[in-house]
Amino acid sequence: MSEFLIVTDAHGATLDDLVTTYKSLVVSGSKDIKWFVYGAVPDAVKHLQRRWSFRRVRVVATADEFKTSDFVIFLNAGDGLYREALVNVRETIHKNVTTDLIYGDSAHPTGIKAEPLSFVRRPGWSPERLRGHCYVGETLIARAEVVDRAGGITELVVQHPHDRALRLSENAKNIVRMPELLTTAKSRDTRPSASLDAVIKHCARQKIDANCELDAAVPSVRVKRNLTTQPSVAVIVPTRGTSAEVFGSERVLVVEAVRSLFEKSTYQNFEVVVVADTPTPQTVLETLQEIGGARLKIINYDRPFNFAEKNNLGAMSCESDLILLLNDDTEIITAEALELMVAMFNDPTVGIVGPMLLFEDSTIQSAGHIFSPDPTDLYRARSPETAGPQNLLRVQREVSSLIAACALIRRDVFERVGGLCMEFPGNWNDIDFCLKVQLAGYRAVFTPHAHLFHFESKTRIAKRVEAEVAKLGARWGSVLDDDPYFNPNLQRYTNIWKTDSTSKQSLDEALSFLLTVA
Amino acid sequence: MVSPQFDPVVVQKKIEVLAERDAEFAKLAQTREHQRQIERFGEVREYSFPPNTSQVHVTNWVHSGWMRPVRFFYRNIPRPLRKLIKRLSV
Repeated sequence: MSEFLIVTDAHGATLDDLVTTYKSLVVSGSKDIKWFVYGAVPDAVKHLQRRWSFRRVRVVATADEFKTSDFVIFLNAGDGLYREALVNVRETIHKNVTTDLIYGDSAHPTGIKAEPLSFVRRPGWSPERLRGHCYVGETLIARAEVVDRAGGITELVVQHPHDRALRLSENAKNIVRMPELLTTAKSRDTRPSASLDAVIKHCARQKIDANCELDAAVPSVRVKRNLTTQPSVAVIVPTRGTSAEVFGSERVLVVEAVRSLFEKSTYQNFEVVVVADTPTPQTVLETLQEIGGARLKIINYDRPFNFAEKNNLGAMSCESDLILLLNDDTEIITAEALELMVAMFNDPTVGIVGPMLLFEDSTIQSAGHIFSPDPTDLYRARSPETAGPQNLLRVQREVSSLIAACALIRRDVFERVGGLCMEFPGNWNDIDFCLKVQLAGYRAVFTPHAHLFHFESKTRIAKRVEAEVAKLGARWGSVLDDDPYFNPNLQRYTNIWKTDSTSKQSLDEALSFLLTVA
Repeated sequence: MVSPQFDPVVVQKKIEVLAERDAEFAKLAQTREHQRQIERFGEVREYSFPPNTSQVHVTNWVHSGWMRPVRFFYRNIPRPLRKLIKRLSV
């Protein structure tokens, strides 16, 4: 019995494309591969069957022979499996015996002699991102039962890759990212494809009430969930009433933050809880009360500074369905930011949502954290127009952690996980909180469609205290070392998504290659 | 929306409940982490961020001493073979 059935749609493919794919299968690391070339003309099939492959590859005319224990690999004509890729796939399946669906990294030609390949390193399983675009790539390995449930081989093979990935993921319980090269793609374009039609159908099947729009420039699909209810939001704003110069004029930060919320936001079912330190000027509190009226509550905080405790105090001093943690040095840019974020909670598995925060000069302040392993704001200080590699910054996606400067949280989840940890008075309470939320089984989602200003100093670098690192690591060391939404083959200690082509791994690869040659 | 004014004592109690739940989650996470460390290192270690190895190998490993004979061998093999190795390695 064959382990793998490779399925390729030959419609529109040249014989050269098929031969390229065939050659890659011969060295892909399995001695018994069946290759179903769907829609190939008989002459092409005969030509491929005559090719010498050390009896490793059998070209079959139908997919009838495959067994339910087999894995089906959808591979585009012209693309190839990376050398020995199936060895890694087999290992992955061996480690995770319940694996239903596997995807991995890919290599793309660049056309540059000095650097002939570029690599697409993919993050872990992120269902929210898959709705935006086909970030999992076009080569997917699925258990045969899953393929059957998703519509069968002959139906799936002709679908748009995005549609195929969505259908397979809907029917798979255990989806695994293999952080190894799986495919050598024919295309130079490393951007994930997106199909509006596929996402609309997916939303209908999954009963997601949303309007879907195609952003053809990127390309990606924006899934804008509809607000079916109007849950109440408590906005917690810790402050000392600090003034600072913003956009060339002096302002009291908290006053403008609250004013923008009341005046700009299209979602108005909220109340504001200002947790004010004792030194907060009385005039500031009076101005706030004027702006907010009955919908603004001021809580006095007279203890030593503890950001986590201030937020917990604010959250426990009111009743609401959702809690918005908001720094006093923020300002709404997108009028419907709150509405967009609230609508995300239609999905009961979402625990926390964060928007894109911008500095005063409109560069990115935070687009979700990555642990590399130092928790870092992804693409900090870059232009907000940056799409990022594989359009990372243009789609909603799961993240390991979000900044607490603006984060919307389900109240029941906030209470269940014990709010922000007061043992982290200044730094990393947000990281600890997000990881607790995920430990409780909820998702943390970043949305790039909601923008707020965060007037934090661009040059501010959080002081790292080794005791706090040890405390955070004692709880979450494994996640910090291997962020599921990062990739172990990327450069560390940086805030960009860049392949670490010269890391220890490449050294290991070079050594194993030399040993193979020897 | 306007929520009622809560008694500070009630709020304080709620915060204490939060702290208890946080401690439960912390314990759960710590136990998991301890288990991983024991599996990996055989003991529980104090966590610190690993050294940044990303750039260390950029220039160093090819030029390290033990690579000299390999480099010498590679440079002196026939050109077609060298090309083949290069192509295969990419």
